[in-house]
Amino acid sequence: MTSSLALDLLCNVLSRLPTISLLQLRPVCREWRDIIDNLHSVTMHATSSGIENIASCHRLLCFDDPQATYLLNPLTRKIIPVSSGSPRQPWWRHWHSIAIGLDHLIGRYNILCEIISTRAEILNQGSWSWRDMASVPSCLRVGGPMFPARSIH
Amino acid sequence: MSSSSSSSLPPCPKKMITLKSSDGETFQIEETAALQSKTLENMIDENCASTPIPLRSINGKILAKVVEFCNKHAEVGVDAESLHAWDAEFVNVEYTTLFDYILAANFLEIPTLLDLASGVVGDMIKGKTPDEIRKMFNINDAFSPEEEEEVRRANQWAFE
Repeated sequence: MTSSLALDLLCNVLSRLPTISLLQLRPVCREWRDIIDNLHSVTMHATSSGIENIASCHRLLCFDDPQATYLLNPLTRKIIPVSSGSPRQPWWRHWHSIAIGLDHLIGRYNILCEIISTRAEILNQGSWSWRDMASVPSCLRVGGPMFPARSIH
Repeated sequence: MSSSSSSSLPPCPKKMITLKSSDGETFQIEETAALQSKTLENMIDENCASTPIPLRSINGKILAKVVEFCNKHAEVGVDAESLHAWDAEFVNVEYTTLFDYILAANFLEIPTLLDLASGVVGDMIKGKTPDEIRKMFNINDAFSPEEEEEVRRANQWAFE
């Protein structure tokens, strides 16, 4: 008779639960809180719910739809719509990627929108404004950006 | 004049492998059913399944159920609906037994059983209080009441 589960098997069980259940389970113990807070499990939830463009950084999710880009803190369920930087065409959704990263120098988040690999905009959390990036290297594919020294890598 | 016999070919003998539980019980399972376990499949592929396979982390009671599960899921011609009903009955057990199923399915790499048992444990967890969960999972390192209250409060929103 087994009285508990190893960490990886417990993660497997918890990753099946809806976010609301996970929130209620955070006070169980430190291990459970840490598992639940784990960014990966949060991201798995969001991606399994059918959102196409999604990015994450620490405990924040960034995703979008044809109207706007949104920031979501899954643990507080707070959501902030961020107005779109440029008018969105019907095809936009299929040719668009987003990424979010923390600028460690100023302690604020930046959101990167990339459209068809040729054009990108960046939203700075401090000014809440989008800034066009003059040119994007053709090899840039948004995935897991890093923001060392305030530049996107 | 000799009469020609039209006897059909004898049925091909089923290949069986033997599993041995931690408490020394042995179980015969058809190779086709055993193939649902990636661990056993690898052993069969490497010709390591000709002698009884010792499974030191799985007792006889659980191994019997795992063999039953593999046999059922290897049956030909079972429709999805009746298999679903069978599965539901199979996992209608105490949570400690479900933990055993999860451990066995993980060790033997049987994804269908791992998914089934993990899903049911997940459903059991839903709606339980932290106290009930701590009891269920034998957790002793609970937060102090102050810490627990702290965790209950919403996390600080990163943009504030």
